[in-house]
Amino acid sequence: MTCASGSRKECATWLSAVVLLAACSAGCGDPDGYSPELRYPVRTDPIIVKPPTTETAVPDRPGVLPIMNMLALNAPNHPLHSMLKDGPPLDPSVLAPNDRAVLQTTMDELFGTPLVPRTAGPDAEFNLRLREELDQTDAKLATGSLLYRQHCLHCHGLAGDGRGPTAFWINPHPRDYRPGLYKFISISDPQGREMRASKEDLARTVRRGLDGTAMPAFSTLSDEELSAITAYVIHLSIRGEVELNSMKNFLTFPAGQRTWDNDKEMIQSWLPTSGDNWFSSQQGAVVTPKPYPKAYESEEGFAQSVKDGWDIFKTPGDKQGGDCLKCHTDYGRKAQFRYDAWGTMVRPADLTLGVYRGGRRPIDLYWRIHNGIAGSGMVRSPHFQPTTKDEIASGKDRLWSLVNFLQVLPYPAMREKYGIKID
Amino acid sequence: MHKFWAAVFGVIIVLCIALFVVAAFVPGWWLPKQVSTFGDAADRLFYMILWITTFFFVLTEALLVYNIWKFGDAKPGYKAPYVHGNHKLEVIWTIVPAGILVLISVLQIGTWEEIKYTKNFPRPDISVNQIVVVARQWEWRIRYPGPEEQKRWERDPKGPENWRKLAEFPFEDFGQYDDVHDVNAVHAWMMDERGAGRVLIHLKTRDVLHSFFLPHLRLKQDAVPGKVIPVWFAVNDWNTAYDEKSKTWVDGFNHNTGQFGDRNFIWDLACAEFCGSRHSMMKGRLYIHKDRADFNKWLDFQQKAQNARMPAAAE
Amino acid sequence: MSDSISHGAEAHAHHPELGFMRKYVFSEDHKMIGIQFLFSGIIFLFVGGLLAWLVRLQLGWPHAEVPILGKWLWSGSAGNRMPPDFYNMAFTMHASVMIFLVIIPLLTGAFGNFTIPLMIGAGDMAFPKLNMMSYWFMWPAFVVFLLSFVVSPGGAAASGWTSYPTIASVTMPAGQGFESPAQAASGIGQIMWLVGLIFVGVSSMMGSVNYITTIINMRAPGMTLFRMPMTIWAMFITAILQAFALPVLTVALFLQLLDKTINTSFFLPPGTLNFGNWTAGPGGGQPLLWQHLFWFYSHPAVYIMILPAMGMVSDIISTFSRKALFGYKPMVFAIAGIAGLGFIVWGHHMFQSGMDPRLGTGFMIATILIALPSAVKTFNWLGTTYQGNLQLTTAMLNALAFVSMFVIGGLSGIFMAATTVDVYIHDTYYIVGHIHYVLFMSSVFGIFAGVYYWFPKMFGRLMNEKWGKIHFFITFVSANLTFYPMHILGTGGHMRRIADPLQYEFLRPLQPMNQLISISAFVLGFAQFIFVANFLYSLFKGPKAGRNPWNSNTLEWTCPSPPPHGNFDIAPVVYRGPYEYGAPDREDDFWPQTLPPGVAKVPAEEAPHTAEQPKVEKEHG
Repeated sequence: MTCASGSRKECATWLSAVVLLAACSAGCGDPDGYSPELRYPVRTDPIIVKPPTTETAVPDRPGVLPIMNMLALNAPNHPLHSMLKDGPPLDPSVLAPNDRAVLQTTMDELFGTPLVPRTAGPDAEFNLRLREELDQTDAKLATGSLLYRQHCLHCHGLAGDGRGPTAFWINPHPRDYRPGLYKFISISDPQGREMRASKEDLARTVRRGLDGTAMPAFSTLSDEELSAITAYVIHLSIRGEVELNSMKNFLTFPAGQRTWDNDKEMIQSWLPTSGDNWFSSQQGAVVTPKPYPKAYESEEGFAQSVKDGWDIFKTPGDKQGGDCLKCHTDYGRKAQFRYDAWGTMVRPADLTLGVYRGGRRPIDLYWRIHNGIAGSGMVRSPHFQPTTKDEIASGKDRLWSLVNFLQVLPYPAMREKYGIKID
Repeated sequence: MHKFWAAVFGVIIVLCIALFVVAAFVPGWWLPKQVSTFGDAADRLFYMILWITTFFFVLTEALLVYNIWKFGDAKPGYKAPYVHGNHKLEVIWTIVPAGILVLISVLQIGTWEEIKYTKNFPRPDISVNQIVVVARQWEWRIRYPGPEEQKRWERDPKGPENWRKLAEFPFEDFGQYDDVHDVNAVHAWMMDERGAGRVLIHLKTRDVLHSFFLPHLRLKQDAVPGKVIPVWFAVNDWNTAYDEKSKTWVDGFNHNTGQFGDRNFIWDLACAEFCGSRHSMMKGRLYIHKDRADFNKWLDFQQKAQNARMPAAAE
Repeated sequence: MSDSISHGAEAHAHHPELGFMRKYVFSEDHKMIGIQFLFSGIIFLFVGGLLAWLVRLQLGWPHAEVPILGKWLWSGSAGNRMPPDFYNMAFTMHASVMIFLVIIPLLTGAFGNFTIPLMIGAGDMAFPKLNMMSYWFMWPAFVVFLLSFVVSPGGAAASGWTSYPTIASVTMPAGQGFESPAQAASGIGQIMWLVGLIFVGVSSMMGSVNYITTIINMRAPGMTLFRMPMTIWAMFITAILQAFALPVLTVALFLQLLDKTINTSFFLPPGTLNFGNWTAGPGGGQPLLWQHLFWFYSHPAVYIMILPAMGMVSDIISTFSRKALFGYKPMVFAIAGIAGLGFIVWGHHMFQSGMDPRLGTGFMIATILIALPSAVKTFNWLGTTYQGNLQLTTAMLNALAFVSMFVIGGLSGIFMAATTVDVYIHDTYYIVGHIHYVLFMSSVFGIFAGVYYWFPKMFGRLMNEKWGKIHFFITFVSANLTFYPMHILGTGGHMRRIADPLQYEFLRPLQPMNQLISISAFVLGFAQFIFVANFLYSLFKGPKAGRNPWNSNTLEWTCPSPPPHGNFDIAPVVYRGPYEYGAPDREDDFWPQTLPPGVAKVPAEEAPHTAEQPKVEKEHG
């Protein structure tokens, strides 16, 4: 019953193999990065043309996005089946194979791969602006891509489509960067044009997170890392917008009826458009609030402003009020879910919770009210500036009053102190 | 062949011990730097058990290897002694380990009481740094009594106790109007000679179980939905200072060298109870200020940032 | 009861030839049922192993693309990387499969069924039909567990094998479906997990009732309680543990199932939980309640997963040391002591849970004292091998590995049991190392020892010793390389169940260790193919074994290999204890339990006894 003598040699062979592997492991680095052959996938999910107008008391169920694919929408019992009549989404999955191939190669030329991302078109001057104003340098994008891969990818997805593997399980669903819309921004265009986001807005969101959503605060990242991630998000956003617009063209104009000669040039032409949107959304466009009224700094002035804010909040639009209760039903406690521009569900905030997704600073609340929240249906009220002569004369400011009211609203002790009854 | 097998068992055992010895000297492979007041005692107990178990480990494994080496070749004629046991031996190896085991457990009690028993927790007063930590998927939301509130406490000795009572409401985490909010960063100051600076944390969670784990403080406590669990610690060292370059307080400050970025002075806050998709990424940092004055400076700074009415560029 | 048994025995006697279905599939023969448990256990060992590989792949290289699988499962938006949700599912199902479908069924199902009647001299189990059902109640669990991997949306359970509320139990408001708002895959996958476990529990319960009854009532003449081999003592006490602890788990599983399906909220606290846009509750329960109920079963379950292996190893060591088991009665009392104390130590899993810390002190003392019987057992095993005439067969090597590794698992347990030290190492890799030293390095080596030891009795052929030893060597070395460094990770503070240790400053230096563990785990997994090849080859081509290839004393070696239906061709009468090796005034160094006093030699093995069989069966009844 002893071990056969032949096994000794084999034992030795195995032992050395194990030792070798073990030794190797200490030397092996972490293959941290994308493989060179991995490319950004070209979009296949539906493009929302007109968000559904349905309202519900509960949000969509975990595991799927409300609008996953056209096939599901075609089912008559789908809650959004009626959307096919009102404004059917475009379906990129039916794109002709050769159009898809052109799109893939052109996009790869413009934006590189996840391993070597870049944002560059044929125009040198434009590329310089991209690098200087939007940090789209190759080095920064490469760093950003790696960080994005570690921290963001499993929710926001490889191409920033908000469809990473975890995305379906969290609600609100992660932001889809491709339409270029961002909710919590400091910028606003006086002409009411759609804005993108400033670099600082994106960095602030990444650093502080969005309380009340699954977006956590990445406050342990350094400033350099944050700016690399921001640059990479802008890269994905521009890429997505170019893809979105080109895709819309391809789908709207079937072969034979095209308004352009060269597919590749058509796709390339969207890059400056998207770039311009981003340039105009940077520092210069940041909204600087009206100065905080001196009168509000005293205790009585503050109390008055809270009361004023409450009035504005409650008063309907036809009486020059903010009409906030219309959506934030019962101060948001009974608000309904509706669809946003991304085809996911959104709910006017419950303002009694003291949870502010876009930040709790007064300036954050000011921007939310002043700028509206893009894509969500929250719009800027026309009645937020002082309207009466009395108000102007007494140094009041309707926006700041609202901000003061909102800051006081969640705290029972403060509500009592300022005589606000919401129950 | 039996000697080969004895050697296999022996080598594995020697390697096991060697790994522990080596790990103790490789930076980052052993207990992280210890900075809390009760951490030393906890580490001493760890080492005590380590030495006792090592002794019994070596004893039993050596006997086993010896038995294989010595008696491992079955000889056709040899008969093992016809022994069924030994009452005296059984008594010895029951009584001796029993004594040692009871000793080990009795020695734990003091430090365990110090860390976890509520009777040893700091009573909320002005010298105690009260913090509310609200865990949620997947970050730590943190709340301090604001500077105004703390000023009120100087006049009202019941203030800290009242603040605690508000903090102990288990569900909504409204806090108070002038609380200072932060996320993924626990700030405190190094305990001074008079004992001021003990930290009392009111730990709660908004969704699932989490566990508040500060490895450098040898401290861990689960957060349970529906409960507010008090946690306390006090720190003997500090690791953060105002950095002119980044215009804020930065950790990793080695006060011996005056340099930032020393990994021995980066004290992570981790989640140690499984909490879902991003469990591994639910991390924060511990910032310990040199003294209360520096902490207050930070608190003012933080409150000012929180009350900002103008974009940073316009100020 | 005796009626049914005699009826069963007669039926067997009159119809010795059973059809294929009755003989191999819906068999009521304890040996076949044991072998069925053995085969399904080994198959699921590979399922669990594959999941472990996936876990190790992620932990060794947390940021890497997954080779092959990445392109197949996680193309597109996932970027060929393993999603953390999948990682969560992999470690959850790894533990669930290994514990509930591999180790418990192998130890109690396979070896319990095979050895109990044979070693006490019974013709079969007390309730053969119940025994058959206990195996077939495993099948719904097998099916449900495997199906849950492909259920959409989400896949299999991902809340950890402990399934702690609220992450496991929280559910959408009534009418909103069974998905979980807390994370991917704790919805329908979790429900299937609960259903599967309920079936496993029913199966175990049937088994344990059967074992207890059989051992109490069906021992051969002369087989007093203190002449029973350690294997039987271990199985007996394990069965009692199961019978008392399982109902609690079953109830807890039902409560969570109700929470998940009809929103009963036993484990939801009285307040609203927020998950972004979703809310849950308010309930009226308590998340800690689950932990108490769960660990009230699952801590004894740890002993259910080790005691049978201890018993088997005691027999194997005594046989191959050619020496009486040192301290038989203390060994029995030690097992009983472990089982008794095992009921009052569950709280050590909850030292940091928010339970009253004063309870922690009490649980600590009970827990640390449980190391005592374990120590007594270890010393007795060492005493057995001392001055023995050791035959280092594969079975013996595996048994010695059990002893050697159980020492590590036992000693590392003291760290966790000590409340103060536990504060730091709780929920770190220290506990992962500890549990694997107990459940892999001990239980699985015990299982291997049992397979190599009883294989000739099960199938009438011997396993290949040379390949058995190669398998043992690679397994022993690579398993140590896999699990030992986990203690260092734990000492470094490495939390368990994290998908990406590189996130933490203090864990980065430990990454080479993680990679070493992963590589060793791959080697460890591959080595098991040697075992399977050896197993299958020997099944058909191994050298024929006689009745008693190991010259062992216990009863199963007196019947043919493999034993016929009804087991014993000679009615066994027991004259002495199981460990009479090396008696000085005998020529042989063994002394079978059935050999009448004064008879010098075991009769020639090939003596035909078949003619007497029907009579023997009747005597049994």
